Amino acid sequence: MVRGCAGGQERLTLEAQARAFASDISHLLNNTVTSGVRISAVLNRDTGDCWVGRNLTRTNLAPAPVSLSLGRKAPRAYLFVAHILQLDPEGRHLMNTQATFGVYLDEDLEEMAVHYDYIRTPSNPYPEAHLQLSGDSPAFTRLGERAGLESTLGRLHFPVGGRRYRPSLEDLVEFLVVEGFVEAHEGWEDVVRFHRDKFHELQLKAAVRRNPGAAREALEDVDDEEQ
Amino acid sequence: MTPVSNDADVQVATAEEIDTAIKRTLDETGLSFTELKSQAASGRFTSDRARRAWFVVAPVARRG
Repeated sequence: MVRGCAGGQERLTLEAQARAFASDISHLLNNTVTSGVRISAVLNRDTGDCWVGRNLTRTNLAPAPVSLSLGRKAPRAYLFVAHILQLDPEGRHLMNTQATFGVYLDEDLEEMAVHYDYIRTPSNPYPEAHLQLSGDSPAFTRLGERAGLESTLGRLHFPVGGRRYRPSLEDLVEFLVVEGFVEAHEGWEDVVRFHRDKFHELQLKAAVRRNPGAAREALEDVDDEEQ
Repeated sequence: MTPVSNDADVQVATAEEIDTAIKRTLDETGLSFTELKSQAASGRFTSDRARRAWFVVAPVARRG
C-alpha cells in the first residue's frame, strides 16, 4: 500500500484501505528508525474522513510522538507523523489529502527542529507541500528587512515539489539516518527504497492521468529508442 | 524482545465522537474553531501546537 492513495484495489473496504495505509507506515518505521511502533487510524464511515497517526482513538485524534530509537535505547529525537485520508471524487478510494512530519527534540513536542506539511487544497497562498525550519538566518532576516517584512527563518514556507513530486516520509527517514542523527536497523536502505518506489509509482501514475499527452510523447520516445 | 505487529488498529468513529475529539483538541490548544480556521487561512499559526491541531480539525473545517 502506498502513501499517495490508499486504494490500490477497488474492492477494499474503507477500513481495509485505512489499515493498509497505516500498516505501511508502521512497517517503514519499525524496519528503519523505530522499534515496536504501531500506527493507528480512525475512520468516519459516513464522510470517509480518516485520521492516521500513533495512538489515535475515536475521541482523541491528536497523534502521539514516535520515539526515534532502536530497542530500549533512549531516543535522541521524536517524530510527529499525521495523515488525513479522504474519499476521492468517485467516492471509492481514500486518498492522502494532508500530511505532516516533524522532528522534535522532546516528547512534549515543544522544541521542533524541522517539519514538512502537505495540504492538497491549502486555504492560504503558501505551497501545498512545504518545509519549515526552526532557527535563524541572518540573510533572510536582512532580506525581509529590505522588503519591510518580518521574515525569520521559521516563518518561511520552502516549496518542496508540490502535490505530485512532494517528499515522502521515507525521505525524512533517510535524511535522519544519513546525517547521523539517529541509528537505523540493518537493511534500512532496502526498506526505504521499497516504500519510496511504491510511493513514486503511484505518483507517476497520477501524473500520467493528469497529463496523458506528455506521457504518450515520452512513450513514443522510448519506442523510437528501442527500434 | 517480543515482535510487534505492523498491522494497524482501525477504529470506526461516529460523528459525535469526532466532534468530541475536535473539542478536546481545541481545548488543549486554547483556540476556538474559528480562530484556528482563521490561522490556517493565513498560513500563520500562533504556535506549533496550533499547527498540529489544524491536522485534527481540517477535514471537518473543510466541510463546514
